[in-house]
Amino acid sequence: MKNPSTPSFGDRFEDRPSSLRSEEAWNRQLHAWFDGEVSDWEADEIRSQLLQDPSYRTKLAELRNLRQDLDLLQAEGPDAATLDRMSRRFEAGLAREVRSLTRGLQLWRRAAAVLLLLSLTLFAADRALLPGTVQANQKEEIDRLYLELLQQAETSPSSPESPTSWRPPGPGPDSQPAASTEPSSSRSGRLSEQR
Amino acid sequence: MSRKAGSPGEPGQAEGLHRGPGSLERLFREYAPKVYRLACRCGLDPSEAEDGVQEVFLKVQRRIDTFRGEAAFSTWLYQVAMNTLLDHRRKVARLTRPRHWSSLQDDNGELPVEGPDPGLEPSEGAARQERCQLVREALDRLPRKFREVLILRELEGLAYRDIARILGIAQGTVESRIFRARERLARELRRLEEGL
Repeated sequence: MKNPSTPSFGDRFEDRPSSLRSEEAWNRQLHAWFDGEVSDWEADEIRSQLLQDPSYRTKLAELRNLRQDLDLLQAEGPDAATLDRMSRRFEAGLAREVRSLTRGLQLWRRAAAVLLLLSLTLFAADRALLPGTVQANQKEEIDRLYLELLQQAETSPSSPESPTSWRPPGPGPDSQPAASTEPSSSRSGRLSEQR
Repeated sequence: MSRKAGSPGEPGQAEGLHRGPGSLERLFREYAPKVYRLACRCGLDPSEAEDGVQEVFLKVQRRIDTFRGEAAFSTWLYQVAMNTLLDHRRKVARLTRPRHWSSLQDDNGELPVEGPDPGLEPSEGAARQERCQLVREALDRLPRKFREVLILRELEGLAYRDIARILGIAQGTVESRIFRARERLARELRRLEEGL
């Protein structure tokens, strides 16, 4: 192994102790050389190192053995029948994908149509139908109740305790005798107009 | 040794192959054998490799729009394939495969040997199969980041630069990762040999 104190071209672990740094850096460099990933001058350095250092040569032999081991995992390509089968399976898979995509799109379209219809209905109801109806009903109801109250007041005997004997504030009944003789319908009509 | 000076190729090499009508079929015809081999090298058996290939190409079909043509198409395909196949392998291993070497042995403590190479003597073929399974098991024990660099370098024969592109890491990281991966693999192999 190269002397640890010698600065090495492959030293990339400056923050580590020099002994460890150099050994690891050299080993890394050996691996890179083994893979053909070093420059020419780096390759020359490695070669001379290999010639000088037997432990370095042992490491190289280990690397070769490891590569031979890994080569056992090399695989043959598929034969024609396998390729054909894979191709058919792929086409079937693609068709399934397209079908599910189409189905998904159809579902989305339907959901969007329903949502759109619902939104339009709500919008129309909000703008045109519901508020107007409610207001109109309320107004009619109030008018009807008011008229009923007035009629009750007309028909029932007047007594100071009775709530139906209520009169609008103003001068007393004695000062306006004509008001009591006025027909109730015309009075209520006038009140409606006032309201 | 069957080293191959493989390279994913230069950008634009497969230009047009992934575009236009029938592009997927063309891509499949062109790359399916390579992906199949990669699947086997990732440790999938032939039938699982077929599933893996289909999974890879369906994923390619879904993601083809994300390929911008900045790198070679095969680099992009390798990225998709490696991730998909290693995920597939993990799934399959979890479901069907014994996790440890000891569980590969049968009741008599023998290792199952399937179909020795017809070109070899029976004993030679069996020994080779046994060694092959040992190496496979050792490789399976490595963390994924080490396994993928070893597969790409040792089995696919790719250059550091291409591996860096495929994995999206710096070339220096590839170098140190390969170095550490080999050290770990050698250690795992020694452990397994001692355990036998």
